[in-house]
Amino acid sequence: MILRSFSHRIIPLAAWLVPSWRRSEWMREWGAELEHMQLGGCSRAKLSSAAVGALADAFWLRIHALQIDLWWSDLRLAVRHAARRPAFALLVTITIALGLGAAGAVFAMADAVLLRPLAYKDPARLVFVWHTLPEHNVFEIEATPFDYRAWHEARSLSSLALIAAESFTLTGSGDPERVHGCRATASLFSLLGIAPGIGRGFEPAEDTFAAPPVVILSDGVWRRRFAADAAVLGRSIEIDGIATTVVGVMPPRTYLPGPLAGDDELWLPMRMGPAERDDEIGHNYTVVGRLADGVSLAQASAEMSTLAAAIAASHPDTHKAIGVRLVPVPEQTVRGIRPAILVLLCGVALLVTIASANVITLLLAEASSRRQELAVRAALGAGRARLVSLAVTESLVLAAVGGLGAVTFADWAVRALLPAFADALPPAAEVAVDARTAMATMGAALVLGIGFGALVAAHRPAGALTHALRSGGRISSSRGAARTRNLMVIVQVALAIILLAGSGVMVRSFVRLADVQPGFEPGDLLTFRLALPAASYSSPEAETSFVRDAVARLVTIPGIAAAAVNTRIPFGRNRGANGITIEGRPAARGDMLIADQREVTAAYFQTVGMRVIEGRGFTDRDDARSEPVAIVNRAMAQRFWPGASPIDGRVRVAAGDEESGWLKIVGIVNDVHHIDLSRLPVPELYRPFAQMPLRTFTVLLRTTTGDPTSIAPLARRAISDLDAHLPLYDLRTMASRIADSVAKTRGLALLLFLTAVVAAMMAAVAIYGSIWYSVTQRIPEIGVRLALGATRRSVCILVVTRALATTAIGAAAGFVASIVISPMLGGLLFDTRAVDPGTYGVVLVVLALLSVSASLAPARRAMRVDPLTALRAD
Amino acid sequence: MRITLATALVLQAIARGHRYGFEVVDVTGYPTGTVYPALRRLEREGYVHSRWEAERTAFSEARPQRRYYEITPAGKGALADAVERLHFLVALPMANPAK
Repeated sequence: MILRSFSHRIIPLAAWLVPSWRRSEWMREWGAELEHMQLGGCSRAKLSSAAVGALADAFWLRIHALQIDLWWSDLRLAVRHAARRPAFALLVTITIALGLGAAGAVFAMADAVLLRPLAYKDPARLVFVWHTLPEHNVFEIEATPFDYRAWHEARSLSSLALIAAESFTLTGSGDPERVHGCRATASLFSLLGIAPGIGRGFEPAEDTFAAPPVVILSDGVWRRRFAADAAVLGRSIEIDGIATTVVGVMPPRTYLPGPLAGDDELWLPMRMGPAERDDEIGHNYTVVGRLADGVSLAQASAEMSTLAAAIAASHPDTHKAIGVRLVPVPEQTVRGIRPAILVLLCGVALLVTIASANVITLLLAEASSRRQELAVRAALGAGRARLVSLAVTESLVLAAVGGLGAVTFADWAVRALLPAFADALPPAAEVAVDARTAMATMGAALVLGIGFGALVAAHRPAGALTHALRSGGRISSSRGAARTRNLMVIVQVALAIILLAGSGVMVRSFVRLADVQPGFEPGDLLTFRLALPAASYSSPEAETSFVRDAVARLVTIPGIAAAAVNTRIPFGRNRGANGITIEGRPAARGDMLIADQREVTAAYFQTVGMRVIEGRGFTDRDDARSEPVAIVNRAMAQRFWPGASPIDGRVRVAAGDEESGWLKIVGIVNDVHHIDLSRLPVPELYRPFAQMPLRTFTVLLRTTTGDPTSIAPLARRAISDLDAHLPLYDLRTMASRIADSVAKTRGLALLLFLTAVVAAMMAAVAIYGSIWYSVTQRIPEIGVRLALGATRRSVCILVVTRALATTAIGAAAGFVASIVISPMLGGLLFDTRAVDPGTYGVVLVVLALLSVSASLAPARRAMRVDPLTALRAD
Repeated sequence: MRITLATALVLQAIARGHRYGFEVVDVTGYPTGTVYPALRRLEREGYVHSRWEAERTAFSEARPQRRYYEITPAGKGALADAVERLHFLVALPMANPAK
């Protein structure tokens, strides 16, 4: 019979190698194959040779199954082991979850802000084109429409766009609303590579005033006011009282680049008239350009500087000493936040290192207590590879669970802490724990898991395990392992010191910044903006009259102690810098003195709590019919009239393309931090609103209710009573405006502080674990000491001293490292040295207290050692 | 999965209509000890799938049932990649349609 041949006898033999679950099918296939060969007339030799292949096939199946079997076996063991020691498993997974979770949260932020490219076409080639005033140490000033036209000569920029960020009153389809937006040249869309989601972009003809008014809506305003109705295209809406045709709707989350990004709800074409187009002194426009193909930033900068020099020579009145600077759009977008994120990344890197050291210490201690079990496995034939595989699988299981915890923690942390940072992040950055962050976090957890397992396996060589078996049940630690544990504790303390010291100086910096007196009393101040439409308020008298009536009506509301108006309030992100001329002091041709100009009502200084230092404040008599007057701040008086009084002196102000008449200085007020608390006050000039009325201004209310926002409905009604079509917008307390100005410092201090707290806790756990383990190891020795007359107090001191000694070594290393890396923090601090002895002192005391607390429980255990029991056990 | 020359040849043979083990052995010239493990790997990776032919067919031809292998879409993709790298694979003969 065929089956009796060698070829058919080999199949049942080889089948023993095949995993049982596929054995019968395997035999059936091979039986059929050999039979077919025989039916086809194959020689016996060829048949035998083919049958030998079955052995190879069976062997391959066995190896493959064996690997899966072993892996499953390791996995089962690892899970069972973790379940048997829930406290240990929990501690390891929580440590991994906290360390990697914090890292995941910061990675999500770094990924959204620094790593993902901006949503423009080839964003790396986009540049902002700024004016510079090197003589005044000012390097980024907005350009003028004149420059925009002149810069078209540059060959190194393939295209340019002009943008003016503005706000508009939107009426129709609901209540009147003041919304942010921009006017932009038609080139903006192709330059950035953006386009309306529906409808069209702007036509080049719409850059000029001759074109009919059109608007592109943002996705937000389209949904909010027009219920996402596509039929809005072609419809006429009223913007600042002018009928305007909707020609498009932008896609969601489309932002202007860099510092212009915001809630841009309306996109209008530039529609410049001849006067605006030729304006050489209104530095209120941002220019964005695209580097021409093959042109580097340096080449473009060189060409633009040459062009700027030529313009300065041909237009000395307006452009003398004005240079040009190109800044890549991606750099400008993240410049403010990048140092903070890099510091946070370093912080979480330290935290992950601490967490890793903690986990390694825990795993080593655990492995040490399992030497007996592992020795038995080794004795039963488990080779080195099997033991390594087991160790790696065990730590992988813990790391995987820790990784899942880390993703959850990171997601929570981002949601909870993002608001603290939100005002400092670019609006286009969508910070969230997405699939990319989750995969990076899980990947890091698994890599760490493999690393931990390999490290633990390296610390339990098979030979040593056999020795452990021979030595009986006593658990003893080798000197090498003890040294490794101590080193890990020292490393953790050192890293925790770095984090604590870094976060300490950041917190101190934030406290100092928050302590800066803004120069007025921001508490109880409510602010909101109004924009009078030109159609209804066409004359300065109408504007002044409205403001006078509004203030008079507002102060009658119970809960409002005073009301005033300022065209550019502190922390309102609007400076109004203008050139000034001082009477009797002819400036060199083109050499400008610059001061920020604000128009305020008579009660302004009193309402916000500013002081008139010299001369007088404004009164209701300072109106359009009286002599034009001005009040300067102390910084302006000291800079432009050093050693003399400016009172009764006269100045002119160049505002836009007009120059005011002479203004008589009648008073000096104290300095105010207008932009943010960290910047020194700049020269400022106040004018009576009645002498220089503007249609857009901010109303400030000094409230007495305790909660300034509670007055808002009454204020809204008072304004509505005067003009029902006037939207009241940007309503906020002054305190919240100041808080936003320190958002970055506050967010960074908060996140670093939380990171440092977690790091300190981990270091304390490490100290606790190390000392506890050391006490366990030294119980016989402590027993001998007690038997020889040592007091329990001296044993306690011995244990605590040991903890303090370890802490001291770690702290010394940590402080040295902190000093070395302190320059990283330099640029982020306000009025605080990066190496701050006071902060370092506090950190040292905190660590010492933590160290003592962590060693108390082990010390108590050592004190309770019964000498007789300890000696018997030994 | 790393596709070796032998594995690619086995996959190509199946793609060209050589459907059971010894037929692939015949056409590729590789020993059974190479072809069968290659088939197992390809099946594990989802590049081929196998099925037993209908009992009636085997019965009517008075022979045991054959286990047929067929290339999957994933296998076609993998083969295309491999062919791109190993151009000479295309020189393999076509199966006899009459067989």
